[in-house]
Amino acid sequence: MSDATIEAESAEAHDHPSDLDYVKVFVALLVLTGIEVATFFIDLPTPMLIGSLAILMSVKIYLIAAWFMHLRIDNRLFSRLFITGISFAVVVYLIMLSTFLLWDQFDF
Amino acid sequence: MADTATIEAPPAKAGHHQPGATGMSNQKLAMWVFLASECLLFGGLISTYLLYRDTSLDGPTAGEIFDIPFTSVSSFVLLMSSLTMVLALSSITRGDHPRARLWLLTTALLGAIFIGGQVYEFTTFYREGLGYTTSPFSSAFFTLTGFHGVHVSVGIVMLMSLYISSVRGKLRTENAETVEIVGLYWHFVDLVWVLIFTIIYLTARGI
Repeated sequence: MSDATIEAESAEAHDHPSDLDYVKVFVALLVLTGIEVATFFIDLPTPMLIGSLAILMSVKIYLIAAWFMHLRIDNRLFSRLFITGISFAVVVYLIMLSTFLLWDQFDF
Repeated sequence: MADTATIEAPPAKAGHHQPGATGMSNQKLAMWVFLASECLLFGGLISTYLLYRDTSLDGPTAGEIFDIPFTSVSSFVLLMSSLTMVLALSSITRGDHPRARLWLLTTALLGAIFIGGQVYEFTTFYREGLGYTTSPFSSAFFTLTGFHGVHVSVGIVMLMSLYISSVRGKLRTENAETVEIVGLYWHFVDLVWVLIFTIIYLTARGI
């Protein structure tokens, strides 16, 4: 086994989260969900509501993917695969949604 | 010509499947490719919902019918199941099989509670006049959340298979990666619910 492999594996072992780390991430997810629900009941203007919910949702998704799905410490190829899937879905469906929204604007 | 040492796959680590030519587990790679493709499936269903959510016809609208406190509890249950799933993996990696079995069973139970909540929610909506064919909004809503529910149910079947394998002594520490792969699927289902809860439920106020 090469020195680089041993180094990488020991770094992975060192970085591997403990049960307490997982509980901390869960508590963070709970707090963020609580803030999301509170945001729903506070009378915020729609753009501010959508903006704050989008930020909170993104942080929650990052926490689940990075910590629970181990993307933070796992092979970078898995992260790239997943990000490619998400990016592809976002781009394809944004184009689709804009097409539907713009459809009525033009007289084809 | 490449050196023989660079062609040989590295040896498998304890608790991991035999790595393929890429140097990583083929099973895990396959699960990540599958999850990447699932992003497109759920992306399509969420986009369809967004297109049709204002088309309630004479049925109840999203803003009138959604019960946010109830759905918040469902979200809590699913988030809790992600924690128990990762604790099951942690236990089996340490070789603590009784605890791993307990966490696997707890995860499946929490998943079943979530599904029970979804069945209750669907039944309530139906009684309030929102059937599958009531409006384009209702069809898009039931299809999206129904597909998610099917994914949770498949996850429960996988978790129970792992539990039964463990009880029979077939799930050893060397098979920890099998638990990790099922865990990836389970966390992805949780991640999709985070999206659904925010995009479908929490933005329904103004509709």
